[in-house]
Amino acid sequence: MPEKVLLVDDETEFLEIMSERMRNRGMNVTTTDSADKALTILEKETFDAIVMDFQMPGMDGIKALKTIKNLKPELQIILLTGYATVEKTVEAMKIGAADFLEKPADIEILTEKIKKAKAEKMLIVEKQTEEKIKDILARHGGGS
Amino acid sequence: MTDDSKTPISFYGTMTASATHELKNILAIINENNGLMDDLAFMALNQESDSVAPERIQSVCSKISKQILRADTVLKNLNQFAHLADKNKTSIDLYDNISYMLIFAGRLIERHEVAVNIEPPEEPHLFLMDRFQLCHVIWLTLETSCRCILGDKKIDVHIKSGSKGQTVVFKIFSPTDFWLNEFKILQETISTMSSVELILYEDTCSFELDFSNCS
Repeated sequence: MPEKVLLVDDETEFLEIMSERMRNRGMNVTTTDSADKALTILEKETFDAIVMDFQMPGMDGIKALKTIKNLKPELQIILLTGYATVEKTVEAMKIGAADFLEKPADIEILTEKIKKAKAEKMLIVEKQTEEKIKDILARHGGGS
Repeated sequence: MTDDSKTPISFYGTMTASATHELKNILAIINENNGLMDDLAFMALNQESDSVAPERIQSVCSKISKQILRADTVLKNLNQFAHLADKNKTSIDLYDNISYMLIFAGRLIERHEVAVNIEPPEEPHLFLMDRFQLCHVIWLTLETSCRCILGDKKIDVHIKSGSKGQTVVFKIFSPTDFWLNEFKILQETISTMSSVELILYEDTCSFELDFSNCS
């Protein structure tokens, strides 16, 4: 199944072209130009990964990251930035970003990171499902 | 006011960081368009598509040209910024310099999602001032204004000419509760760094930068 990705960047030309190249590589891509709009989309749809510009007008990158992690803890977030400083990277990773890429990004590297993010997300969802099943079995006395 | 741009050197850093960040974004768009050309060529060579439509190639080339022009504008503004410190005092046109700062600092203002509207004066008036210092004052004023605004994020700017000199009037629509405190801090900062006077009008949520003492 193709990777389902939400691509977020305030540069609409970048969004257009990057999403086309990602679709050419078999991904299912939704685009939006702000963190606020991304949150609205995330409330209704599920994604394997979100690729997001770290510095956009409106919501601060760190706040956006925290809000998304609260809303969808299993969602893997890959951040794009003009300049990746050690401080920025560490702070973002502590909050829960899966990965960090500097612009201009190599699309093959990004594609690999998205595949890895999807695999990571699936592991998390599997684990959550196992926990739920264990919980149900425990409440019903282990089943017969 | 944030500590990011209080001193001249930190102002210099904030502006150059913003310009270089924008250049990175432009490079990213050029990179992707270049990569798309590569993808299209690969698909054509491997016969994954019948042929590559010339219009498609033209469209990509046109997008690259647009970004090159955009980068050139950023670099021209950055170069102009670098040369602000060339002369201590020079003949200043306020409207030209405020307009320049609105463009050069546009990306930073855009982050606050604020619309700044400036009307050209009826006639230009020139006075002598250190241009770097002027741009620093304008930036601090814009940055503080952007942080002290809610809802309908709009700032109106117009230039008045009086008998003693020129003043720039700023009107903030929907200011925050703390706007007056922030602007009192700004008032003190501007008075220590220049001959410009910041006059506050609490009842109308507006303020003036008075350049009468500058020549």
